[in-house]
Amino acid sequence: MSPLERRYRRLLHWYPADHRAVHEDEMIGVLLADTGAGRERPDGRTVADLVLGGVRLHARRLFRGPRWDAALRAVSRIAPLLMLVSAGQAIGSALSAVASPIVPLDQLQDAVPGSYIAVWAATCLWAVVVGLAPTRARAAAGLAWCALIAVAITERAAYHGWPDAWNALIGLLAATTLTYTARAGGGPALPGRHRFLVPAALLCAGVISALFSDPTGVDLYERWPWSADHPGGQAALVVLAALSVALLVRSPVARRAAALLVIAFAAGVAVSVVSLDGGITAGLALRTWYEAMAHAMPVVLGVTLVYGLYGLGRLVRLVPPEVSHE
Amino acid sequence: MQEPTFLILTALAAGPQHGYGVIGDVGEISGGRVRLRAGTLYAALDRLQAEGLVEADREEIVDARLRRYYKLTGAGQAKLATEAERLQRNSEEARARLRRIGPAGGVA
Repeated sequence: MSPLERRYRRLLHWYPADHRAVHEDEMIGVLLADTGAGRERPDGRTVADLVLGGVRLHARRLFRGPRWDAALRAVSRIAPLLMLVSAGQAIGSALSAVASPIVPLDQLQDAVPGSYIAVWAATCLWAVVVGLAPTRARAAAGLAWCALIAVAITERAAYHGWPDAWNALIGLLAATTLTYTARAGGGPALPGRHRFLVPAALLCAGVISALFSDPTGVDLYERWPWSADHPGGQAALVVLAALSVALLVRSPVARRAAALLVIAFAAGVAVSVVSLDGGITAGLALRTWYEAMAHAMPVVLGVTLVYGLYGLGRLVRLVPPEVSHE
Repeated sequence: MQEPTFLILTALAAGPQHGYGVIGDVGEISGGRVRLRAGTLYAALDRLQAEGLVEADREEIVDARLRRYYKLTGAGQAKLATEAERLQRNSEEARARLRRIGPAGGVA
């Protein structure tokens, strides 16, 4: 092997392994034929061109390809159902504000207009229909954009402030992934048993979210057994989170889907922090943390409950009858 | 469609070609203006194959080196035809407008 060929082969390490396996020898042939006789080193332009080509291929494989396609399809099913958690919280908060004796009636009508509950109820219905039986991807995508705008407008009207960053980002994630699915053509969104378990877990999360809501919609986290006052509950939360991560990293598609959801969640945290008036103080940072937990906790609990029960059910079925009678 | 992509598809429109053949043909089609390099060519071929516009045709060994030939698919032919028609329409329109204003430098 000539020194020039050796150098070219070293440069081809910039390329993805699957591409190298198929095209390395072929590319070496082209590179050697394209190089003037007597050269021992590739020229600068060829080096730059090869490195850039390798980076392009890596980028293409990172953001395209069947795994990202599957992950986007999965998120297009999960994100509408995540709207259920927001819907549960919004409706629960609004209804408990109506029922609350501490809020004067005249302020109440201003704070929680009927259109607010109506829009969230419609979003809830849409989330259930899209999440459970998304047969018309194009219509679902259109409705997702409508729901996003309607929720933002009614939230602004109801609370005279900017729409909740979490709801907006989850809505945006639902709308964009559904638009992608509609344009790319239909196909199975969640594989195997997850087709039933994920909707069940998120429906459960929506109900939990509604049940634990309070008029402020913020102090929700303080009601949970794993709030700052309960170190044991916090330890349980860490264990649950670690278990979820351990399960997710096993599948490349799940890793990608989780990354998309985590990015949306992190963006929600970032927007909440940036939009805080008067800078970040310890109290406001804690409030942002509570808000984040109020959105995350119902999901963690719903997923743990449904997947835990499913795992338990499988475990019981796996035990032979004669052993279980002992 | 970017110019290198258009030139690669045009090079393959004449029949199956191997990588080095495409590089030479692209130089010829562009009158020596575009000098395609291996990195650009194979990144483009990877994308065009993923889009179903180009596919591998056959392989042969020449001087102990592997040569893989590529050819246009039906979708690739249709895409190139559409693009060529678009470019022709645009250039005809440009020429017609230039004729209306007269020779270069004739407009204030």
